Amino acid sequence: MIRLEKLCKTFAGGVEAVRDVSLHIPEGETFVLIGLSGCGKTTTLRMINRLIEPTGGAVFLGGRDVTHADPVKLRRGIGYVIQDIGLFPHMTVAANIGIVLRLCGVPRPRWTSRAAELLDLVGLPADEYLHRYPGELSGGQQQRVGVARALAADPPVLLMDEPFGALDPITREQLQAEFRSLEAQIQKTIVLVTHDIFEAVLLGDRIGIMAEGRLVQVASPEELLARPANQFVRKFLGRHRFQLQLTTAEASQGTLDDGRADVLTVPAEMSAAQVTAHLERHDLEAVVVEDNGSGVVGVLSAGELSRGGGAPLTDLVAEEVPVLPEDASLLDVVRALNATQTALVPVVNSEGRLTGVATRDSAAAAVAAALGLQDGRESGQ
Amino acid sequence: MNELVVVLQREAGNIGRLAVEHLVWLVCIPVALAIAVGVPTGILLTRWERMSGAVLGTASVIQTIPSLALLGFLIPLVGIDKKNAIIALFLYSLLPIIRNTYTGIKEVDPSLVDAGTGMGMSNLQRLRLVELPLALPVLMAGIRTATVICVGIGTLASLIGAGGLGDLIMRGISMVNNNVILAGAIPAALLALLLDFLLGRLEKAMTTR
Repeated sequence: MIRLEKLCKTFAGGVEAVRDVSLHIPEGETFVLIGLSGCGKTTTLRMINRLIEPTGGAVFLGGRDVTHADPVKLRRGIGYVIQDIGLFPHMTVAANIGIVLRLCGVPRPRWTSRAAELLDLVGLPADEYLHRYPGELSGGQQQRVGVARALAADPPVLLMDEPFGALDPITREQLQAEFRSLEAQIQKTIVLVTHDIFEAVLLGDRIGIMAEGRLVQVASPEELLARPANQFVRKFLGRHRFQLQLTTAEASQGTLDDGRADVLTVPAEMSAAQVTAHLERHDLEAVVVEDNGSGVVGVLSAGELSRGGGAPLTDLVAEEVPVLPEDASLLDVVRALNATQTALVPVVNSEGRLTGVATRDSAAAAVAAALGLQDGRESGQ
Repeated sequence: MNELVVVLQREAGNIGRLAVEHLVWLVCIPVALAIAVGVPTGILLTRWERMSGAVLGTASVIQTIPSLALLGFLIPLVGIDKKNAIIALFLYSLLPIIRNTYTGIKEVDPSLVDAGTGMGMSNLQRLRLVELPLALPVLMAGIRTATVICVGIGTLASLIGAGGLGDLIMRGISMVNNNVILAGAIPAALLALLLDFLLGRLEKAMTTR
C-alpha cells in the first residue's frame, strides 16, 4: 500500500534528516515509526503526504509514484492527525470534521451527517458535540475529533504524528486503548510516529526504529523485544524491555495446561463443605467457581469458605480477585496475582467461559519463558 | 463655557456639513483605498517573505514624514485640493493595514496552517478558510488605527483646501477664538471615538468565536 524507496531528505544547510529509507507497508497494517527526537521519523512521515519534499528516492501509494503528483489532491486522500491536534477554533466540530469533504465540494447536509456518524465512531455523542466549538472540549475530546476529521473522506491511508503526545497520561492511555479497537474496525493502512515505546508496542503491527535518519530495525513488537538488532535498539528499549515483553505475551501463556486446571475448578452447585474437602484432598489454596449457565463466577479461597459458613458458593467468591479476559497480557496476569495475593487468576473468553487458570507457578514459568531465561537464550542487558 | 455653546449653536449647520465632508473625503475614501491596496499587499508579503522587510520598511518611512511636510510635498505634484489630502491620508493608512494584515496572518497558530495544508487545502483555500478568519481581529485593529489617524491628520488637510472639520479649527486659529477651534476639534474627536467604536462592533460581529 505504501512503499518508500531510498527516501532521502537533506535540508537546506546540509542537515541529512533522512537517509536511504526503504520500506513496504502492506494494506491494513499499522506501522509505527519510533526514535529519539531528531531521528527523522516525522520528516519521513511528512514526506509521504509531501508536506516535505524528498531530495531523493520515491514514495509509492497503492502502486502509484506520488513523488510528482498534485500535492493538494494527494493530501485529500490521506488522513492526517497531528500532535497539536490543530482543530480550527472558528469552526464548529461538525465543520472541522467535514472540512475535507467541504474542500471537495460535498454539500452541507452530507458532510454534516458524515460528521455525526464519525463522532459516534470515536465515542462522542453526535447530538451533544456536533455544533460545539473546539475551545469547549477537553484535550482528549479534541483529539477524538481530530481522528474523526482525518477519517472523514474515508481515506485508505492515515498518517499520525504523535497523536497522543499532547495528552495527559491517563487520557493518553484511554485514547490508545480506544484507538486500538478503532484500528481493528476501520481497516486502514496507518503510519504512526511516536517516541513512546509502550505506545508502539501496543498499537503497532510492525515497528521501525530510526536513528540518525536511518531505519535501524523493522520488526513486529515481539520480534523487536526478543531480538534487538544492535546495541542502539537494546539501549532504546532500555529498562522497559522486560515489562514490554510481558505486555506482548498473551495471558494464555501464563495459564496451566488443561489437565492440571481441571482440579482447580468447581461447579457452583457444590456445597461449601464439599469444596473444603476438595481443597484439602488436593492441597489447594483456592479454586475457580464456574456456573454451567453463566460462566466463571469468581475465585474462592479457604479463608472465604471458613468465614462464609453454609452460604451458596456464588455469594462467597472473593470480590477483589479479577477475572481476566483472553486478550489480556501476561503482564496483567502477573499484576493481578501480585495485587490481590491470591493463589490463582481465571482467564475467560468473550462469553465468560473459562479458558485457563493462572497460578503463581505457571505465571512465573511463563515470565521466564517470555524473557528467554529458560532455554539459556539472551536474557537482556 | 456659555460662549462655546453659543458658537456651537451658531455653527451647527457648518459643523454637520464639515463633519460629513471630513468623514467621506478624509476618512472613508483614503482608508478604503488603503484597505484595497494594503490587505492584498500584507497577504502577498506572507507568501513572499523576502519582500516583507523592504515593503514594511518603506511604509514605516512614509509614516515618519511629518504630515504637514507630506501635504506640502504633494502640492507641486497634485496641486491644492482634496486629491492631495486623499493621497497623503492613504499613505498614512497603509502602514497599519499592511503591517497588521501581515502579522495577523503570521501569528496564526502554525499547527493550524500545518493541519490545513496536510488535509489538502490549496494556498487560497487555506487563506480564505483558516488564515484570514483567524487574522481578522488583528487586521481590524489595523483598520481602526488607520481610521483614527485619518480623522486626526485630516484636520490639517484644511490648509491645502481640502475642507473638513479642520476648516473650523483653522478659522478659530486665525480669529484667535478658542471656542471656534473647539467647535472643530470636539466634533473631530467625537468622530474618531465613534468610528473606533463602530469598527469594534463590526469586528465582534464578524468573528463569531
